Amino acid sequence: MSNGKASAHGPARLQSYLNASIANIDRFVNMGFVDCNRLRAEAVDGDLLIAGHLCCQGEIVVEVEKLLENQGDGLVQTLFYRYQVGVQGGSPILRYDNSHGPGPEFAKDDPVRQRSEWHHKHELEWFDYLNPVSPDHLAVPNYDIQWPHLSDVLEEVHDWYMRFAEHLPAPEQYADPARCGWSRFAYCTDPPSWELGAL
Amino acid sequence: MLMRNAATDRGTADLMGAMQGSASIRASLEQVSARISKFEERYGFDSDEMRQRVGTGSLREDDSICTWLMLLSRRDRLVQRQG
Repeated sequence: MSNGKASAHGPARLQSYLNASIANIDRFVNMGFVDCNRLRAEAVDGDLLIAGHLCCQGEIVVEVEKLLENQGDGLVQTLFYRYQVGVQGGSPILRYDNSHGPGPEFAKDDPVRQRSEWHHKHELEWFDYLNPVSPDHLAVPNYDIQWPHLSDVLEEVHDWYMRFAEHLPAPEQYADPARCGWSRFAYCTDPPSWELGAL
Repeated sequence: MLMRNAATDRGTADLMGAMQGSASIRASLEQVSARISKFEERYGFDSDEMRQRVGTGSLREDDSICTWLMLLSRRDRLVQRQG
């Protein structure tokens, strides 16, 4: 994960933002790591939701849920995000999110903690595939990690795959989009209407 | 719509229009509140207590709790929108 990208997360033109995101994902498609991009963009509650799954080699699924605020004049900016990564059928690997949001009651007596946990990473049970940790593990507060780009997460997941592929049950197989669930999504229902019939 | 379609001139214009349109805030709020209530029933404590427990580290922010927290953020935003 690269640091020091705060300025890269300012308001962006919607079309530029979408094109950049697609180009970043396509890079991993062209590498053969991502099999299909199932992300959708939809207006939800007056904001823009980008949500769905990236099905990767090793049966890895990257679940993406991002809410972007409409700032007018064609500009959008990320408000909330969750990138959840795991091997299909089990084996959670990591999650980046800022799900605590700006709630003033959260850790109100500890502004440093409040700030640091706005953006955070969870290294989940199978983050170190050969030495799985207790499920009680572990959020990693990221004082200096800014909003992670999806491409940063994909880079990290690809590195993870290169380290542990030989130990995975089906290292060459891609995750099955038909088995990707929606129960963890907060901004769309299960299944979202806009997913139906999509290829 | 597919992200690739959304990135076209037409798709972008449609999305911007939809965002500015009259979103059914009330229906969303009801739906989100119902989902939050289910979490509160399932865990046996309310959302404020959940936030406190996560804040003190006595409750692990697993997948479910993350979804619960995101629903609360969404509800806060909807309430703000509703004015």
